[in-house]
Amino acid sequence: MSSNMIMLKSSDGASFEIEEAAARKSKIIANMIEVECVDEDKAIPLQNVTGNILALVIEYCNKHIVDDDDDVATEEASEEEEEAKKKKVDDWEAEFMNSMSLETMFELLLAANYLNIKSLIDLVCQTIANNIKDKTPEEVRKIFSIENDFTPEEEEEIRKENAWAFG
Amino acid sequence: MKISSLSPSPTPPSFTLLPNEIVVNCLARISRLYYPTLSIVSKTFHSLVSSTELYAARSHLGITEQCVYVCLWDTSYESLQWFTLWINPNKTLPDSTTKKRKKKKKTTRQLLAPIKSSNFPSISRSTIVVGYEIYVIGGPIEHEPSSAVQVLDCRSHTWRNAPSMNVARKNPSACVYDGKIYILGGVRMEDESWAEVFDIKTQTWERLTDPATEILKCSSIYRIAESQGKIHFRYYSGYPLRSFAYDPKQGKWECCKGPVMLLESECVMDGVGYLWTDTRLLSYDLQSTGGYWRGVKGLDSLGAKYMRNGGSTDNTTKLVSCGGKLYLIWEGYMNHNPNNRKKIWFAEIAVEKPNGDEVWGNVEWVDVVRSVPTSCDLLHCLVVSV
Repeated sequence: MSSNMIMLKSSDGASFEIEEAAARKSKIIANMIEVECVDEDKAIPLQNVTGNILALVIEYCNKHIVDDDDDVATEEASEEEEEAKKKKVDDWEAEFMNSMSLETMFELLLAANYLNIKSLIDLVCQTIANNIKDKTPEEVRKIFSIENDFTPEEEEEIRKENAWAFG
Repeated sequence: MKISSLSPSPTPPSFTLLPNEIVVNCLARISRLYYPTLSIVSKTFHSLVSSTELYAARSHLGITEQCVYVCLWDTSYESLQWFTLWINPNKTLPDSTTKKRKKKKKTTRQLLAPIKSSNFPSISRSTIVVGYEIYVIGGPIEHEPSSAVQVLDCRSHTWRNAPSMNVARKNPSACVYDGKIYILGGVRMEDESWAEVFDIKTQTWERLTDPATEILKCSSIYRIAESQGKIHFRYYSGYPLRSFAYDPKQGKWECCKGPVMLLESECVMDGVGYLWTDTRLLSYDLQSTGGYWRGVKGLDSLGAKYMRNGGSTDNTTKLVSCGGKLYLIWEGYMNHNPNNRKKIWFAEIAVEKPNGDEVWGNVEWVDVVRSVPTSCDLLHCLVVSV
């Protein structure tokens, strides 16, 4: 299989070259390729993704192109090999997520959602879940800049309903 | 890298920019025990934590949790209150240092959290768990039989009415198998349908043919359970280990040869039946033939604690399996009781077979989860996957 290269351009003007197979992890880009609206000489503009986040997305996609090919290529692979491979990917993902702040994580999620990369959405959601579960409501609001849209009375009411949880 | 103070500080993107679907994807991966806290974040979070979308996502991701539900019945006011066992996820088990317990107020780690009650006045002992729902079936309602059925949705803690049975019943026996709820007995008159079946998918009732008089007894059923595609049951009275069965495939009633040990078990976990009797936990390997009931080792101190804290055969004691652990629940109540209070105790027991044969138990925690007036009875204790 020839590895076509395509160009992606971030909202802040940075260009990235990526293998088509990796770019196809994004359903949006895959669709663009299908309907042949990708001009080989032109970069695909991604207006909602900044360069630093796009770099992360590309790093993720590059790491995961092999997975899809593996389905065919490693039919003969033993169970242990499969397991070892899976562990390697898991370790890489853990490391990858560990290296970023919650703010970056959140921007990455927005990008994954915009580009429609299912497995990346799931990975970031899981990491966010692990990170927010034992935070106070105030901390969660701050991390994700969520506005507290309850009136003090409403909030009091809900706290009262679940008073046992705050004892 | 420092951002120059001259550059306009961009407003950080808000989580609320994400579609609900993504927020749900995050929340679904978090244990339910955290939901009370998360519901305070914002109106969106509050509505999402009890939404059907969230629970659909949980089941899609295979993240269901087993939760214990308890119903207490206040006999003096004839009122019912449902609870769910809530274990504070932010408070870890006290370590050995708590021996030097200071004046510090004891923090609650686990308790029974009340949930929205229904106005359904039935105190039927007949309950069935189907997925995330609890069915409360029939009467008594004010001492009379009833055909009414109410269902608690344990995701949103809301109640709905299900279609009524064909016949009014009082404490019938219920068993779920293959998408159907089988209801036996609890009828007042002999000429009424003794048994009927409810199709969960179509939500319709259908009468079953009555069994022969040999099987049809007036006494109440001791326990009912499905095994190998048949609905087995035995009565309180009569030869104790004689049991009967209904075969749904053939539509026939039959007498069983020999005892069905499943019917003697209070709960089953990993092919082992368990039973709490007197002050001991017994186990029975249901997969072996010719086995026998044997005491679970390592639980002497639990037995002593049970007795010391008002557990007895006169007070309700229940045993359930939940999330791979056993829970022993008892009403702690002494005859000499100046406060007129009863304590609901919970013990979480992990069981293992370290050398293959003997079952050993380890009490992970044991504590009072609620204090109630002595007029309260422990009516139900159920395990639901949500």
